[in-house]
Order: sequence, then C-alpha cells, then structure tokens
Amino acid sequence: MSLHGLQCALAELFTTPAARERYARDPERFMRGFDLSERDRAQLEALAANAIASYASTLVRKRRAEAARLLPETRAALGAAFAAAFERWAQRTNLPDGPRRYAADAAGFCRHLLAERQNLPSGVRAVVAAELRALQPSRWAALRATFPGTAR
Amino acid sequence: MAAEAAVVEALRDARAARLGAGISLRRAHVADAVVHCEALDFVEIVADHYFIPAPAKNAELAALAERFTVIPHGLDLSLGSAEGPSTPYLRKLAALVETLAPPFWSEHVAFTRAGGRAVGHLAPLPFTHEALDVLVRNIAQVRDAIPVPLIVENIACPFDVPQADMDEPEFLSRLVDRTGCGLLLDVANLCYNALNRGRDPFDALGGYPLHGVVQCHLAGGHRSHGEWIDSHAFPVPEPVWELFEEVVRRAPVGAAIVERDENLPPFRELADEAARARRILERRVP
Repeated sequence: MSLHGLQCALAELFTTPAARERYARDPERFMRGFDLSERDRAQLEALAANAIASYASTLVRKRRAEAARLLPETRAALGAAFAAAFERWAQRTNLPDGPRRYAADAAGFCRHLLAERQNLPSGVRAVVAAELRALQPSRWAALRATFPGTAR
Repeated sequence: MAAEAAVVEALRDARAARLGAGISLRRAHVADAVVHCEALDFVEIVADHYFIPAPAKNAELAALAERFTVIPHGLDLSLGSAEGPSTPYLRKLAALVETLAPPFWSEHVAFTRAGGRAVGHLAPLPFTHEALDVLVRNIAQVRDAIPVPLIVENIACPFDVPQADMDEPEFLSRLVDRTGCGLLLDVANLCYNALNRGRDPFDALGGYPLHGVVQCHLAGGHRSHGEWIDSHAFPVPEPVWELFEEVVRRAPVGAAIVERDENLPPFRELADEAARARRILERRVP
C-alpha cells in the first residue's frame, strides 16, 4: 500500500494550499500523516516545492477555465477582476467531487462573490445571481437523484 | 486469459479500422458536427459529459452515433490509483461504452483521486515497478467491466516524480507489453514534456512504444513562466504537426483527434485542422 500513501500525500499537496504550507514548514510532521515507505518519503522530499506549486497552479487554472466557461456573463461583468477573484476562491476551497463538480465549484464561487463582495455593483450582483440560479440542478436531475431508476 | 486474448484481437481490428481524423467534440460544436458530418471521419467525446442522463444529451448522443464512430474518452477513472479505479465512474463508463459500441475507448495513465480526495486533474504516477503493477491490475479489473479494447494516453506534466525505476517511454512500453493495450499518443503532451525537461521531442519519441500507437491527440498549448502548458487553448502549432508527421512515419497510427478546450474557435477551424491531420495520415503507406 506504499503507493497509496504517496498518492494521498501528493493529492493533498496538489489541492490544498494549507497542506503545502504545512509541508514547507515541517516536512517530517506532514509526512507522518501518511503511510509512506522510506522510498516514498525520499520521492516526496526530492520533489521540488516549485514543482508542486506549479502543478497546483495548473489545477487552479483548470478550475478557473471551467468556471469561466460556466459563468460567461459573470466573467464579462467582472472583466480582468474575474481571474483574481477566482484565485482567492480557489485558495480557500477544494474542488468538489462528483460528475457535476465544476458546476458545484462555479456555484460556490458565485455564492462566495455574493456573500463576500458586498461592494460589487448591483448590476454585477444581478448577473452573478442569475448565473447561480442557472447552475442549480434542473428538476429533471433532482427527479433522477430521487428515483435513480429513471430511464436515460 | 481467453477474454484478454479476445480484447487484444479486437484491438487489432480497431487499429485495422483506421478511423481517420476528427475532433474532440465540445457541446458548442455538436450541432455543427451533425450538420457538417462530412468534415470529420469520427469524433471523440469526453465520457464524463454524458454521465448525467438528460433528454437533450441522449438526443445529442443518438444524433452523433447515427453519423459517426464515437469514441468515449475518460478523464476520471483514476486508472493508476493504488486504491483501484473509481467504481461508480467505471459503472457509468461501462454503460456509455455499451451504448456507443465503439471499436475502442481511452483513458489516461494517471491518478485523479486518492484517499477520498479528488485531484480534479490528471496527476502523474511515479514510473516505478509498483505503479506499473497497480496499472496492470486496474486495467484487468476494468476489462472485466468493459469488454471493449482500451487505449491509454500519456499525460502532460511539468515534472516527473523523482527516484523512478524507469522513464515514461519505458514505463509505457512495459505497460503496452504486459496488458496488450494500445497507446493513445498525445503528441502535444510528448512535445511539451520533452521541452520542459530540456529534451528534443524528436529524440524522445524514439523511446516510446510506437508499435502500440492506435490513435494520436493533437493540441496547442502556451508558454507561461518559461514552462510549456498543454492548455488546449490554441491551434496545433507547427512543431506538434511536424512531430505528428514523424509519428505517422514510424507508427501504425490510423486515427487522430484535434483537441480544443479553451478559446473555442468556430467549428470550421477545427475541421480544417482535422483535415490536415487526415492528409498526414493518408500519406502513410499501409
């Protein structure tokens, strides 16, 4: 199960800014949280911090691209501020799991904008709220979730 | 073992089918693809996009399947996970493959989840004997659920997990030999990985199991902070086309897909890139 421990550690480092901070501060303590062989530990230690950070930023970039695709009006309304606002959101959250994870991520970002950015112009708030409503699962999807046998 | 031999035999048939050139279809282009179906030989779909049943998506799939061979391309099976591939994902994928009855389907040599955490993207495997054993075991499990040939794709990653037992070409060669899987060679990934490691992509190509290549992926990325990123955001660049021509000269590849996820251009632009890929494939002497 050695590979499993390494993959768990990598997954946490790739997706969680706080884990990267913990690792940078005290690698030994971070690695104790996983079932790692000597070799796994050596592999992790030899992995440059900037390689992990670079991969993590690729993940955020992918999340941002998906959010921009799902929220075209919000993106247009925020303009250049969209990227920075999403980066702040991604620093605080992990990508949800499941087949609708990017929709859930985009919806979370909308809620975050509406809750935290009180200074957003009312026109922008309206756009964000409208796109958030559009992201809610349809009645059809809700019905299927309730009755999984519903035909395709 | 007999079942495995049958899959390998079917893969040989799939290769012989020589699907030609197409695009990785995004929803924005589905209507165009249906109307201008003569522009593409086949299409690839992201399997995940069709896991949540909806009447519109079912109609879309039916319209596509009526006109094209549709190849499902998985993103999140986590074929390289030590904890095994994702069972719910595998179930949905198996249903989709059964519906589409493709000559083969594809996934990545990567892991996307571990310990209940979704990475959200294709994470690199260490190129070790242990990771290879895990992949071989997982592929056997997947084959039990999906008795259609699987072809596996090399991923883009700016780094290798250190202290490996072998490099990526050797890892993939062993994987192809041990499983009989075909290779979906992402030419852009190979190109950017080589450039990011200071290597000549044409030199790197020689180590890959070219005899196993069934299909190629072509895409355009960009450079950021000195590093090449396979962003699928731009047209296929000339160096990737040249590398693809070299692959076609040396490998029995009979299918190519142009990928674009960002800065989606009009359908016609992607169809033109697919046409260029087709011309290159046709130059290959059978």
